[in-house]
Amino acid sequence: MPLTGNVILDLVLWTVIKFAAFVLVFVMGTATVLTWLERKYSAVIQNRIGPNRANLGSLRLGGLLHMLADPIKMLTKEDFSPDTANPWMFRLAPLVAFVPAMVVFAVIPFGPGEHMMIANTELGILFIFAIASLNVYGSVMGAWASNNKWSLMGGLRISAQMVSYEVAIGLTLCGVFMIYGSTDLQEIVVAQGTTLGGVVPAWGIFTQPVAFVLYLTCAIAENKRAPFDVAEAESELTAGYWTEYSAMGFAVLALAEFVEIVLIGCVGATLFLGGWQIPGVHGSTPGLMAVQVAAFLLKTLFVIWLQLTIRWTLPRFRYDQVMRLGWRILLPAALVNLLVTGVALLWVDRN
Amino acid sequence: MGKLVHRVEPDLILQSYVVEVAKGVTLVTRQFLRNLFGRKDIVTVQYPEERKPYTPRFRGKHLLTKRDDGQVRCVACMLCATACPANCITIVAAEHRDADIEKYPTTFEIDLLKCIYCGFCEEACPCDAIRMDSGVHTLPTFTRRDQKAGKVNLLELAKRSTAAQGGDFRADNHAGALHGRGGHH
Amino acid sequence: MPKVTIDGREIEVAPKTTILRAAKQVGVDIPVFCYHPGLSIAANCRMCLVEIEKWPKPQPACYTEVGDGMVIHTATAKVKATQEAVLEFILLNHPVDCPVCDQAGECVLQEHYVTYSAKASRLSHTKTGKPKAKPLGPTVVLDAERCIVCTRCVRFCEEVTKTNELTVEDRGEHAEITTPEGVELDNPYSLNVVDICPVGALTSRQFRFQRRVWFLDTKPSVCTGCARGCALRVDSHANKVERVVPRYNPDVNGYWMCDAGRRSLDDLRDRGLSTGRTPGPNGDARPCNAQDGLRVVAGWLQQARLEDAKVAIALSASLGNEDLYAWGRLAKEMGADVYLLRKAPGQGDALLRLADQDCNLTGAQAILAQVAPNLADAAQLADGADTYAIALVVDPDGAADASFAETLHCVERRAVFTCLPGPLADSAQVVVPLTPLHQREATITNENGWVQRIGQPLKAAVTTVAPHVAAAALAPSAVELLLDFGEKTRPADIFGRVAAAVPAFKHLTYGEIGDLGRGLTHGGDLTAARPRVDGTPQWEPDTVTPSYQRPFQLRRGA
Repeated sequence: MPLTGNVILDLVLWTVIKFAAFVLVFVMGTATVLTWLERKYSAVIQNRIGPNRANLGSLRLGGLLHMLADPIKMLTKEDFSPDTANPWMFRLAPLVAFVPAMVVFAVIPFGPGEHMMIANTELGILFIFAIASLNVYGSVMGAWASNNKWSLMGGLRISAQMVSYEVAIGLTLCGVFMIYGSTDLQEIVVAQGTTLGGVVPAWGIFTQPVAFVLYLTCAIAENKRAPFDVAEAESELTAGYWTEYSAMGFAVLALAEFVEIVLIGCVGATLFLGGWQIPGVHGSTPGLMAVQVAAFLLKTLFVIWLQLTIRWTLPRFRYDQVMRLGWRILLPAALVNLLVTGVALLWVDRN
Repeated sequence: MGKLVHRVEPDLILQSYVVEVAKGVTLVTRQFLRNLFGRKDIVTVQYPEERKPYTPRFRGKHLLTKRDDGQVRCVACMLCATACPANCITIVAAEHRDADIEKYPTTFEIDLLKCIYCGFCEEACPCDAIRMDSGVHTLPTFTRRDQKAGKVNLLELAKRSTAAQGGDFRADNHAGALHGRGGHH
Repeated sequence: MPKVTIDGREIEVAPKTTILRAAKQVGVDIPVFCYHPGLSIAANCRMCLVEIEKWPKPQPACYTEVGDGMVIHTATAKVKATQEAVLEFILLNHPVDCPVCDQAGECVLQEHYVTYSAKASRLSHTKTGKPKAKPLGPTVVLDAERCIVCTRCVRFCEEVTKTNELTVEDRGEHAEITTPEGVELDNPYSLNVVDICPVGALTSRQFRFQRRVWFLDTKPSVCTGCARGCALRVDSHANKVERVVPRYNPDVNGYWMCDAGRRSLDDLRDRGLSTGRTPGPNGDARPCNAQDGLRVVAGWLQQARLEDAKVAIALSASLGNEDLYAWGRLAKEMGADVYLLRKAPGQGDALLRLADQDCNLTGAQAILAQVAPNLADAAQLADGADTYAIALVVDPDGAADASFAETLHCVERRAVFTCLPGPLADSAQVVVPLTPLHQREATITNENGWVQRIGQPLKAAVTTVAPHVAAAALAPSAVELLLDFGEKTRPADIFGRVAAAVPAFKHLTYGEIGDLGRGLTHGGDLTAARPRVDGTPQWEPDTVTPSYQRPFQLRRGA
C-alpha cells in the first residue's frame, strides 16, 4: 500500500480513535476506578466500610467520588522534593515509570481482525517484554534520586526482584509460543479459537495450566504488589522507593501501578483466556465483534479481580523468601514446564 | 501450663501454594460476598453521625462546677495542681470578698495539650469543683494557645454540684457536718 | 547534776533543765504547741504532758524542771490518752479547712493530729464561729477560727519586741487573739508572729494565698538588708522569691528577723536588671548583655594603660568578700584608686536592725586594706574627679546616691556595674548587669565579723555576670588575675585566695563556713560573737518536719 497522504491520515486517524477508545477510556478508566475500587473492595473483605466520605452536597455514591476527589487533592497539594534530591531525575522518574506501561497496550488485540489493535506487529509478545520491563527504571530512578536510605533500599529490591522474575516470566511464556507457534498476539488469540478434543477450548489456561500460575505469580511480583511488595514494605522501609514522593509525583507512580494491573489483566486474558474468543462462537458480523470485544474486556476484568483478591488474601513475603521463590521454585518450574511442553509437542507431532 | 502445638509438616501440595492460595481467595471472596449481599459483619461506626454511648466513668473535658449563686465552687486549694502528674493546671488564688469562702481562683487554666486525662484532679478535689464528667471530647483548635482552657471556658460546661458545700459549715448542725467539711473533724 | 530516766534511758543533765530539753538530749520527741525556745514558757497547750513516777498527775514537760532520780514516761497509755484528749479539745472548734489554709503542709496541728490522734470528731453541735480574714495590722491577717490560743504571738509582742499589741480576749471556746482598741500590730518585727504561729491563724498579707508550701524550693541564705546579716531561708518557686523566713543562728540573729529584711529581696525581683547598655555606633544607647559591656570597658582600660591615664574604681561595701578581693586585686594591678561606697545609714534598734546598711562593711575594710592600699571614702572622689579618665563603679544595690552620680559626670568615661536601674546607671555610658548576691555563691562578713555563705537560693540570669568574674575578665591583658585564680572563678576557690591574702580570714575555708558561719580573727582571737536576743536560752527551735518532706515526697515545682 503506497503511503499517500490519505493513507497516512487514515492510519493516524484510526490509531488516534483506537487509542482513545481502548487506552484512554478502558485502561485509564479502569485504572482510575481501581484506585477507589481497591480500597472499597479491601474494606468489604475486612468488615469495614471503606472510603465513603467524598460528596457533592448530599450526593455520596458510596464514596465513588473519591476518584474525583483524589486527583483534585493530588493536584493541589504541595509537590515536595527533598533538598538533597537530584531534581531532574526525581521529577523524571514517575514519567519513566508511567509511559512504558501505557505504550504496551499498543499491541494488545482487543477484538478480532488486524484493525482491532492499535499497532499490528508480529513481534507482539516480545514488544511487551521489551517495553514493560522499562518501567522498573522509573522506580529505580526515583528511588536513587530521592537521596533517601529507605528509597534506595526499595529501589535496590525492585531491581533485584525485576531481574529475578523477568527470567521466570520469559521462560514461562515460551511455552505459550511453542504451543501456538507465533509471537503475534492476534495469531495466538486466533489459535485459541479451536478446541482440545472438541470439548475444552484451546485456551492457554488449559494447554499451559502451570504457565498460567507462573505467569500470574511473576506478573504480580514484577508489579511489586502484595504479597511481593517488599520494595515499599512500610514496616521496614517507610514507603520504600516512593517515600519522598508527594502530590502528583506520587499520584503518577501509583497510577502506573494501577495501569500495570490492567496490563497484566490484558496480557493474561490474551495469552491464557482466549483473548476475545467466545467458545463456540465464530463469525465476523459487526455485532458479534462488539460482543467479542466485550468478552475480552470481561476476561481482563477477571484477571484484575484475581490480582486484587490475591493481594488482599496473602501477607507479604520476606525479601529472602521472594528471592528464593523466584530463583529456586519459579525458574526451575518454568524450565520443567518448557521441557514437558517440548516433549509433549514432539509426541503429538510423532503421532 | 504450656499448650502443645502440633506442627503440620508441609507436603508438596501445601508447599506449592497453589491450593492454599485458591483456598484463601475462596475465603476472601466468600467474606466479600457476605458483606456485600448477606448478613453484614461490618463493625465500623460512622462517628460524627453515629455515636456509641460512653460509660458513666468516661473522663472528658474538664468542667468547673458552680455554687448555688452561680459563683465558681473552686476555692483555689491547688490540690488538683498538686495531684496533677502532667503539671497542666495553673491557678492564681485571690482573697474572696466573702470571708467564709476566703479564697477563689482569679485564674484557673488547664493546658489541655499537657493534660493526660488521668482524673487525679477530680479525685483530689475536696469541693467537687473540678469534674471530668462532661462527656465532651477536647476539640481540636488551630492554635496551641486555644488549648489552654481558662476559667470562663471551663465554666461553660458547668453543672450545679449537688454535693454539700464546704464553705458554709455553720448551717450544718448535725452529724452530717462530719463529711461536709471534707475532714474527720 | 540531776540524773533522770526518760523512757528507760538514763541521762545526767544540768540543773534547771526542763524535761522537754532533757528528753531532746536522749532523742525522745515530745509534741508541743505553745512552747518556743525564744519565748517564755506558758505551758497552756498541755500537749507536752508526760507521766512522772510517784507524781499523781501528768506534768507539762516544757515547764517542769528535772529532779534527781526522776523517772519519766512519755509514751504510756495515759500520756497517749492525754494527747488524744488535748488534740480533740483543740480541734473541737477548729474549722479543718486545710485545703484553703496556707499553713497546710507545714502545720504543727496537722502533723500532731496525724501522729498522735487521727480520731474522728465527736462534736454534734455547731462549731463556734469567729472572725475570719481579720487584718491585725498592715502585715498580718488573723483567722481566729483556726487559732489554738497558744499565745506564742502574744508572748512575742510582750517579750521580744516589747510592744504589747496582741492580747487574748474572752475565755474558753470564745478566746480570741485580738489587738486592743485603736492599736494595730505594726512593729518592725511583726511578721515573726506568722512564723511562730503553729497553725494557719496568722498569715502574712504578702504571702497569703500566693503559693502552697509544698511547691516552694527552700534554700538557706543570709539577709543583705543591713550589717547584721541575719540567717534566713529563701522560699522560692520557679526562681521567684515567694517568702523569706528567719533561720536559727545563735551567733547572729537568734530566731528572728525584721520585716524590712524580708522585703530586701523584693526590689531585685521587681526591678532587677537583666540587660545592660553600651554606646551604639551613633552615640545612642544600645541594650547589651554583660559580655558586650565588659568588652567595651576592657577596651577603655587598654587605652588608659597606653595613655597612662588615671582610673578610679568605686566599690560598694555591699559586695561579697570574693568580689571585693577580685576588684581590689584588679585596682592594685592597674594602679587605680579605690573608693569605698557606703549606703546612707538607716534606722537601727536594740533588737536586730542596725543603722549601718552595708551588709559587708567589715569584710570590705579588712580585705581592701590588704589588697588595695589607696583606699578612700567615696565622698572624697568629688575633690579630684576630673583628674580621672575612667571611673568604674561597682554598686549592685544602690549604695551610690544621686549626688555621687552627679560627681561621676566629671569623669569622661563612666562604667557602672549594677543590678538595679537608677540615677547611677543613668549617668554612665556603659552599664554592665551584675548577678545579685542571692543568685550566686558568695560570702559576706557581718558587723560582728561573722562570715556567712549566701548559698545561691536563686538561679542567675544568663545575661548577667558575677562581680568577681567581671574583675577577672577586666584584668590587664586578662592574664595575670586569671592565672592567679587558676582560671577558676568559683567563689570557693577565690575565698581560698582571700584567706591567704587577708590575715583576718586566715583560718577560714569556704566549706567550713557551712550554714551557720564562722567568726573572723582579730590578732589571733576569735571575735566573741554573742547571742543577740538577750535573756533567752539558746535552743534550736522545735520544728515539725512537714509531711511533704518525709520519705513519701510530693513532687515539687508545679
